[in-house]
Amino acid sequence: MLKYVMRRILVAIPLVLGISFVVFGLMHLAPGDPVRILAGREATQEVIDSISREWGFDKPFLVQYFVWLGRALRGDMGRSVISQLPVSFLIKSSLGYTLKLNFWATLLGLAVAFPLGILAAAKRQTWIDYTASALALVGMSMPGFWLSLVLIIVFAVKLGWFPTSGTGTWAHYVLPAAALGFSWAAGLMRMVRTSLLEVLREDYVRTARAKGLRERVVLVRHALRNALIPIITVLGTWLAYMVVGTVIVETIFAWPGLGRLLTTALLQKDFFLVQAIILMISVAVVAANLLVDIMYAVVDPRVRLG
Amino acid sequence: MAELLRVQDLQVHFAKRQVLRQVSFSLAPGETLGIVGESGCGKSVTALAIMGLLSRPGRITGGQILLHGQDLASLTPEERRRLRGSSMAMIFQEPMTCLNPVYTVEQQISEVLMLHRGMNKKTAAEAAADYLARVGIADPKSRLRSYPHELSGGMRQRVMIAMALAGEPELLIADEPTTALDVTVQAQILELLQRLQAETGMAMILITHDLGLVAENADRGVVMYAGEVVETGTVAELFNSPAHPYTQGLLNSLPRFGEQQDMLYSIPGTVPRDLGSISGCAFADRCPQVSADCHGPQRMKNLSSTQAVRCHRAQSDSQIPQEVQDNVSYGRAASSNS
Repeated sequence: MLKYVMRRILVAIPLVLGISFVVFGLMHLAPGDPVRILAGREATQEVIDSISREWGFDKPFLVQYFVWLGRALRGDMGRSVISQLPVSFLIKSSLGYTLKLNFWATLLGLAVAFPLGILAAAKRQTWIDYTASALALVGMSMPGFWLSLVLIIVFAVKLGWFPTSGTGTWAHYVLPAAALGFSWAAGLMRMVRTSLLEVLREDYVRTARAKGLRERVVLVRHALRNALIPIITVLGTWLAYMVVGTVIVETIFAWPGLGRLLTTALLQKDFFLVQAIILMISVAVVAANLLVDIMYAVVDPRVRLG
Repeated sequence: MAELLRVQDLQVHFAKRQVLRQVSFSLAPGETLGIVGESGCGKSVTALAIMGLLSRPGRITGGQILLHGQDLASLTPEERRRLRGSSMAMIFQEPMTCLNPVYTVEQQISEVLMLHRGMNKKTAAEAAADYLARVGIADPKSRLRSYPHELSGGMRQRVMIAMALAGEPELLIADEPTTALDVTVQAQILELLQRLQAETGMAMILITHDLGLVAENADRGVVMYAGEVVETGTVAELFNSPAHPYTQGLLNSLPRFGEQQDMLYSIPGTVPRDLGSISGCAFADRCPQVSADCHGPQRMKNLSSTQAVRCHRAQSDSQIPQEVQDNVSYGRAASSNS
């Protein structure tokens, strides 16, 4: 088990390095010269040259990459071109908000998806299954931004139960977490249902029933544990999707998280900040996948061999 | 001896399609009944119906299953569930897929002990090791920690048997327990089942497509064809004086030791799928002795106190002098009564 986890981590390291190179390269290919933004519209060539030297933009591409990578490894991601604040400080102050929001959204999603999915599978082809599946279809069909707007119109503007934007109290979490969590839960619920239905046809489920176990025990202990394997795969993809989903939802709800920091930085062509956030998101995706791999091994003893 | 199990005119439908009709047989405590027939003739469905494990769209549409004289249909699902794994246990054809891949052998055996025998985790673990030893698994203590994928097919079937035994069943249904195993392992598993049966006194229903297995392991046999019982009798009767053309066909398709055969006999044709459309003998289409009377309804006809057949021609075709039957013994069938 430990060996398996170590090997997964070792594989992840070159992956993260590769991603950092691609991110750095893409930023250089993207339109918009950071030096010109720094210098301002009316700067002379001398000013531009000196700024270029000061930020290291005059060096060859590969040198720039390794200098940046070396600093990034020490936690120095450069400074924001706009606010002059250290990128690491900006990220640190918004990351917490994103994590908190994602935590509640994930919890909400799991709390909705698993019970509904299990219920739909256990009562398949009954009105319970049809209702749950229809709900999931509706949930999956609604784009996050649209759901966010509907939630705001209904629960904030019309009913006035929750605030439209900002942070502070628990009430501020409800709408953005619901917007993020529900569309995620819809896909997950369908996955739980399908996966469970497939496992319920397995011979060992019949064995469990032949032992005289209660149907609830058969479902949860014998079927669900096996059904988790494909579900975990989807969970990983959804985690990655959530990071992207956060960008939209945070912008709509004016949530001061990583997603909104990224949109602002992109619009202002805040070079180092964008680079750092995209790198962070990529690393988060790699980490999510690593987590998925480890979860496999926890759930399925056969994986621990590989 | 009181009857343990009686199946009376059992009918099963899968949605609109009838798959079992008028299946009747009985079983005494400690007895071994072999159920034989080709694939698709309703052997497994019969077993699952007895266990109460038919899954949708399959359902019992007629007849009774009596355990100790009590109609199982009169029980609540909850009472039915409590019988499973304790009074009646079942082992299946595919040991490779019948054990849950994510739990250890200990967890899967202990589960039965804790559920039906009220043991706690610790005593259950000790008892589970005992059961592994009883089914002939070496080093049971360390095998308890194994996962199914770490065991061979034969070992897995032994674990399945240990699990079935753990509930101390009166009836063990073994549905093609050796079909998926190597020939040498097959013999070991059957020997094990016989030994355990002698030790515990449980009755066994051995479902197989192999008449040879019935000869060696069973006291009595039930021959099924297309969802019907076509012949029942003691093993000696079935082998020495098979009355139904289907039983005769099955016997002819067994290879014979010491006899030169270029080609094994096979019964032409296949088992019909839809029984609803057949009013007469289901085997008529494939029967070498078919006549006009075969297309009318067929009743079970008693040939002796133990042998019955569903064929109107039976009496005239299969009269065999009594002394021939008495002189032949097949396996333990003629001698044993454990």
